[in-house]
Amino acid sequence: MAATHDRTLPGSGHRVWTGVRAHTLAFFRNPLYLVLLVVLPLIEIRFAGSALESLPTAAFPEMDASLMTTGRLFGAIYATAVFGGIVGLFQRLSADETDRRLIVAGSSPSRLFLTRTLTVLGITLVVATIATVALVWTETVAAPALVFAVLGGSGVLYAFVGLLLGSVLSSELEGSLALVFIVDVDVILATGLLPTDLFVGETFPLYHPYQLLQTAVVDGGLADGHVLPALGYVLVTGVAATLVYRRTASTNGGGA
Amino acid sequence: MRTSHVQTAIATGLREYARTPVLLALLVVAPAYLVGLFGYAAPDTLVPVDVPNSGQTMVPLADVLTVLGVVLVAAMVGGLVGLFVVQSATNADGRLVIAGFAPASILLARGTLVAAAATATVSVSMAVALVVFSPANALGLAVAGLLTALSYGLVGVVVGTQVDRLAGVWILLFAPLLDVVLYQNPLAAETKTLATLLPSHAAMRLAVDAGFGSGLDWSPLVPAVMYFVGTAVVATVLYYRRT
Repeated sequence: MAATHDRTLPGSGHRVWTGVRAHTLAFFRNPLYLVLLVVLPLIEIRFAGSALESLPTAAFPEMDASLMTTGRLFGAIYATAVFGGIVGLFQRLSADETDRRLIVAGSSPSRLFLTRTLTVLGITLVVATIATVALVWTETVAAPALVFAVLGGSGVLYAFVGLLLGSVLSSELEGSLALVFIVDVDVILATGLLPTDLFVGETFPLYHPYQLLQTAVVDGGLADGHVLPALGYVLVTGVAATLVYRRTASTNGGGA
Repeated sequence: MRTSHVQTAIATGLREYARTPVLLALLVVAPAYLVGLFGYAAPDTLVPVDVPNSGQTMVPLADVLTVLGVVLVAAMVGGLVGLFVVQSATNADGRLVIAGFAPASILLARGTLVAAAATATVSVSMAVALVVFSPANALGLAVAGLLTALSYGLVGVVVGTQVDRLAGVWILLFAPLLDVVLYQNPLAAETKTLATLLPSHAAMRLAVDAGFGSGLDWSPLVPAVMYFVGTAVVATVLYYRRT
């Protein structure tokens, strides 16, 4: 029998904070994760820049930044999105059984979701910080704070996508496959590595964040026309992830 | 090593695949989506490609990206399936060894499962690629895709024996993109030294030749197979130590 009265108890915020702290500490206690969080974005940014530099500019006539800069931006946004997405996916899937039991024991799905989400967002912002530092280190960045905000937003967007996929798919392999195909195509289209005149390219989630990132790095300004669509994607995926989590957690655990 | 043990382990693994229709759908739909999108959305702008035995050749960008898509999909799926096959089998394989299965039988069965997923993915990728583009040698392109998938499958096994799933997925999402899209990109004017050390290097040369060459030179097959065999040896040693 599910008890849901804890939502009204005082100290709910404290419980969320305790959960977030426990999940985050468990994550960062693994030294390999720490190493990968630092090393992989650095490698991606550094090597993507040098690899793209050797491509012919004639093949990408509409690319606004140089190929090396594009490569580094590609690495930064890809690293943030992939880490955010995978952490979201694994937080959701690996916690599934635990969360079900907690719901049966009386925890509210909303609080559990909030705990998982805040953990994922915290880790994602750490990745965004590392990617921003790596970008500033390798590239002349006009507006570092703006770059952090855009990378953080891109990571959060994909963290929600990961949480969403984790709610609708039953295994980590399925989720990882789905996520890799979504994020790879998204980044390749957003950065212009697949130059296309089709409108479909602009409908992918990272298209607007990439435009913001490019402007922030090259000009230091805010690409006004892309702010609202980018925030809109974050909002929509956030709402979808929440609704789907509530629905699946309630169905499985019966404690809504 | 008993044949019946290998057959049993393969049958069990295939049954597990069959019980997960979403996974099967992803193995078919996701490659079709990526290769189809690359071929459909890219413009037909002519771009210079350094074809191994034909020199620099002007080919439509859409065709280049289709070839790239076939190899990329093979690497992504192969790597992840290899990782998860070895990760999900860890506990079960230890018990099977105690029950009398030879580690070689189990390893062969796990390898066959990776090969089955690789074959399915490459078949779908090729079917979609052939709709949007006519390669000079379709068989050569399919072989290149299959070798990439198998090599990455073994890379996935190697990674899976060393790190946990989360870390493994991160590594296997970064590696194919860096290797195939950035370092082996057929449009690249020069080959970086690092590119020659990566798993898809020889396979990509074969794929580009098969896609655009006037007569296919199968010589890149040798280093590609050697890479595959080398990775298989490393994967086998690590797997034996683990079980």
